[in-house]
Amino acid sequence: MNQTILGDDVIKLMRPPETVMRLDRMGSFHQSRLSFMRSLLRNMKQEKWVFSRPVWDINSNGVGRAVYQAKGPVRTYSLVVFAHDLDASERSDRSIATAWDATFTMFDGVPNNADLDRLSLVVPLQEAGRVSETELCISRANKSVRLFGHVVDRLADGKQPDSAQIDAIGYLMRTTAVYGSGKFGAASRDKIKMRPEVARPFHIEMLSVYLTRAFTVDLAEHLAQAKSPENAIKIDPVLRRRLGVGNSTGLGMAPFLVNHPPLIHNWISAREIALARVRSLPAAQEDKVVLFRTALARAAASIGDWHTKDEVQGAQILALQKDLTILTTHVAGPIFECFQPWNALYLWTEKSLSLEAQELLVSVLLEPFGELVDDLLNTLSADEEAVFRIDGSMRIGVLRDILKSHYAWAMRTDFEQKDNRSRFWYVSANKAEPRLGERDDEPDADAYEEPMDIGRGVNKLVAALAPRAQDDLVADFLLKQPRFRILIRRIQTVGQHPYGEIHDNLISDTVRPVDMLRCKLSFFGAIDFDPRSDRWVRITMFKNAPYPHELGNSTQDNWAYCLPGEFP
Amino acid sequence: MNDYSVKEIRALATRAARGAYMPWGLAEEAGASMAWLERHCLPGVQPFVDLLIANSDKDPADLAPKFGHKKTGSGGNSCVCPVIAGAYLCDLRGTKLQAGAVEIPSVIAPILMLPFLVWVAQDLACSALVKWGRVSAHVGERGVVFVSGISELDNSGQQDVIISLTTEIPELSGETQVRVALSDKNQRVPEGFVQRTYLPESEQSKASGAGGGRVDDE
Repeated sequence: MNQTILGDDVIKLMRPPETVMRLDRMGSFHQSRLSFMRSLLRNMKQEKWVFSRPVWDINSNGVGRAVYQAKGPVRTYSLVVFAHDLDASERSDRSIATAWDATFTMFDGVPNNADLDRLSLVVPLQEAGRVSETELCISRANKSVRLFGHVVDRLADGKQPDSAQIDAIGYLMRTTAVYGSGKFGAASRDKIKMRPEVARPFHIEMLSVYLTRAFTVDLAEHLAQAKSPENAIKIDPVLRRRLGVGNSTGLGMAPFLVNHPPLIHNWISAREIALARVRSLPAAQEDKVVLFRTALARAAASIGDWHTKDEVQGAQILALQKDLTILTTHVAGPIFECFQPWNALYLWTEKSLSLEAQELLVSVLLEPFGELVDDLLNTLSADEEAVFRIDGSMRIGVLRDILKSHYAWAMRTDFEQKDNRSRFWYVSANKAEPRLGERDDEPDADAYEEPMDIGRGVNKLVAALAPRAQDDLVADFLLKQPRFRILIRRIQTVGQHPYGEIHDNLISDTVRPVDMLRCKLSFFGAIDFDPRSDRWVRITMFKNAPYPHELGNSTQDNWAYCLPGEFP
Repeated sequence: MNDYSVKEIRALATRAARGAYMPWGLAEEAGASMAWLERHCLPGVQPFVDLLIANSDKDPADLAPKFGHKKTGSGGNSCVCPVIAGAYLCDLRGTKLQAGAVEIPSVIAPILMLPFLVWVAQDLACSALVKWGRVSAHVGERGVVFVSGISELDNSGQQDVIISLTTEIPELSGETQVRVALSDKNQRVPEGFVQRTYLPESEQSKASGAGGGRVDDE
């Protein structure tokens, strides 16, 4: 832990990993001012980025190409778009799809015609194509069949779209994958990790989605104009704000939270330090109380727009709405006069409200305190190479101490019990995507198992270490038992990055992978989590955000949650 | 030729090593070793492919060197895996080499040991002299310089490797690259091993995966 950003008061108030890193709590996280989308827009606004659309070569059927440019103080990034005529029968959000309504790549710099011609041959193929060192990520999107057609038809008729339909769906197109650095030929993250404007995690991917959102509206207006040149109108700016970009996220995202302990530690600990800093404040200034109450009202209003058919999430939203009523009443009272009032409020919430409400409060508590917490955005990245090497000079006794300190949750689990090992993670041959299977259904499950069974592995390691003396070297143990290398590397890493480990059994029959997805997507800044099973979720990105041409004049940093009729 | 970023080639190598014979942690180190060599403009891909073919389906426990008090052996086995041997020396943070020169017989593709020895040189703030066959290399904190035998670097046959610490500081070119070109064969072989790590998807899993199980009606 970086001691320079932590005082003793803050350390004392930090929630421990055994509290935070539980799947049910992680599956209750919400976007906050530390989320990547908000960090990106804040930074671009401060730096006065200039946006343009130098290429728009789309025909009246919506087929062609376009380029959206984002010009920062030092560099320019370009979203290259290919719009396609997709047969409805081919439209699928599944990873095995091979055609989409639109495909994209984020180009490092300004592409010339030769670049566009080259990219036109490979980007539409997505995984089957190979991009190059000038491309930073690739993605694709499909239309929302109901809303896209409705918006085009209405605009072509000279009418605005139905706001209820916009609120019910929330996007014109949804991305079905955004592949980041080092995939399918794209440049490694090493290329951009020293560039301040995109060095924070996933900022280049967020920029890609942000520009994609602008394209979706431009395309709808273009098609309306092509359909009825005399009558077509532009979409009302207020309605336009309520359109985000949809996204379907499945199990492919889940292993990320397991495979990157230092990075996940940095994300979670930044959020926890931010919360602890606010809780440690001795008094509440009146202006901060006003900002907090406003942020809470915005959050409550936005939660009212959150719909899902998922029974578990639906029940949690109902409970959250009730809790928000209780919380709003509570904070309207004289509760800010005591010592450390924000801490008192948090502790009251912990005792009184659901996990969803507790975690929403964490997000809302950070809103008034940008000057106190925003520096933590600079701690989100991680040098994972720094912890790659195993310290084989460590004594077995020290390793046992780390296990006792950080893996008690795993050692409490009985993996002889079938329910605790009934699932296994594997990669499918169909599309090289992570999947979760039933162990009993697959005779060779152990042979194909991905290293997501951390708890079970810890128990096997403890048993294998049993004959070893306290003074034995880890290196000598590993020379005999190389199968434990991955786990010992992990344990040594988690010893230094304790928020990097999920304290739950990921192969039990009760695991809900959507909790892992929700955690990561909340850090992106997603809202409207709509689980479609326990393994995949629909979300909305950049809903309510100012568009590129509006960013410079936007007044509200907290654009993700807004009051009815508000134009942040 | 097929063009990869170093990160992508590392990911490919890691999964291929897992598919061939290595447990996950060791496979990660194999991928890191191969990628480090290629990043530093040294031949990593060909020795790596040769290693996977030579050791395919072998038990890694049979491929570890046996370190005794006087002399290191291959434990009666036919060959030693350079990743296991290199990782062990690296794990020990150089203490094994501080005790005296280490000789490891019958190492396949010994060039794959070199990145581990760079990390050891960083631990000890000194350099190492590494020899096998007619190859002689100085390994320093920031890289490797070949003194002789450059034409034999692609030779992945079994070699006896001798490693000793030295006070000489190698002069490095500092040259690096961010892309790696793979021949069709050197792409096909690792991808074949990668396929061994994939399991055919069940109908149940298909139905519950992202986008599956229902018509996309929005």
